[in-house]
Amino acid sequence: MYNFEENIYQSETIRDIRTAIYQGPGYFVIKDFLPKQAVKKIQQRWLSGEVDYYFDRFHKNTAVNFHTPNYLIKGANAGDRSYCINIWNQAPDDELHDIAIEANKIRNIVEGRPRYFATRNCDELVLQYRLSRTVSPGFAVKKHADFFEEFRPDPAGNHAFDPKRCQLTLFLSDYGKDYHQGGFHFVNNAGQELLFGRDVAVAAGDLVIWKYSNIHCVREVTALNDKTGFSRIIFPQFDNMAKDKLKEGAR
Amino acid sequence: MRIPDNYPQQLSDILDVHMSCELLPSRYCVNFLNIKEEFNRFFAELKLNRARIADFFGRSLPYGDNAAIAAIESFECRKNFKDAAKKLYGNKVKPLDINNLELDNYDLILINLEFGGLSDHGMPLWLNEKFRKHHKVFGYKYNLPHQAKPEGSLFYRSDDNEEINTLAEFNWYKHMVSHVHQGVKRIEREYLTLFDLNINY
Repeated sequence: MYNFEENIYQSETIRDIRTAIYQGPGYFVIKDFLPKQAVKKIQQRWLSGEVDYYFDRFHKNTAVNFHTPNYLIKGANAGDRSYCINIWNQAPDDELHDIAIEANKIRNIVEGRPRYFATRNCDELVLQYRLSRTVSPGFAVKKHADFFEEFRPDPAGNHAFDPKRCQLTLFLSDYGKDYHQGGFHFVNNAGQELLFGRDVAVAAGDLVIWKYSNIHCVREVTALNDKTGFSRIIFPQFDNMAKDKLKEGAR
Repeated sequence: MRIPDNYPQQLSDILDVHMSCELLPSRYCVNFLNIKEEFNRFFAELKLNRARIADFFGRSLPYGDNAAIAAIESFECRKNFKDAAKKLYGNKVKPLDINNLELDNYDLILINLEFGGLSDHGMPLWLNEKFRKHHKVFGYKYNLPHQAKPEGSLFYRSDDNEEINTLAEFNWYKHMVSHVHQGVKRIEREYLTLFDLNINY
């Protein structure tokens, strides 16, 4: 199991994280969530060549269910890709799986949920994690706010207003070294647009926990290193799954 | 806090009050006005007037500014919720002294059942021994989202990050209704379920 420092779960730390997210700038950076050596290993396994694992063709969020295998989303450029790994499937990379569970645990505590929420099929939401690499300019992820009553063309579930919800971004590459000019843009609680890496100090291995209902996008990436580009892991949760489970139970 | 255009501006202030007291902007907060509306409907059905209320673990008391209520005494050990109620209603809310509890002093007694699922708060198991036929006593619980299934949520957290054990909460509920032998009258609403704990039936 991958365990980050247990200090992160102390109530003072959780209070500081919550204050930053809900009253402060809208995000909190957990520095060195992953040691540099672990980042390097993940880069080698996932970003340095073809991944030796079968990923299914693209599945729409609305179609994801407990029978959905892990799948690949290809982007505008051949190098743009997102490996989508469902927590209910066999892990293609045990270490990555553990890291995802640990990151999700921190989010759970911040959101006031049980530690292992969203890692069990019976939960109201179920976790997927996506290892994404962007190497091309333009919008990789269009500007939007989640859980803010906005229309979503392909939602992973209900997007009713829920300001408690957070998303996590685990950075796997460095602004200025692997990519520049663009990347993860985020509008903070004061309405200012920030570019992580340039306006907020983050490095590969840092985990950013941020308020999901703030406007955000990924755009204008210029890769300095085509293998890594702007690489990160995000952690969406699906609530269509509960309905799927209920339907199965009714059969 | 920035809120969607189709939500009342008042909600933004309510969320700000809760967040300034280090409480989560949770489902409870987002639905504060809906919960208040359901309480208002309930109070109208009870035909309350200048009522004095004793409340147990009512969080930030969503019904606090109802015109039919003259005074609220609240037993709430969770400081953050207590602070939020103070910010919302000022001196209308006073602390409830359960060591000298005299239920005859109140027109309505409200008991949030999550009280029983929390540890270390001095749960008064003797409470229902004090119920009399003329008391209006209601337990209530805030409903979880529809999707939440019991097997996935034995524990949930109130917005001040305290873990609530739903099994212990249920045991407390059973204890609180142990004097009712003909089935508990429930009033089920979308955000709130109320349980009539009066012993006159």
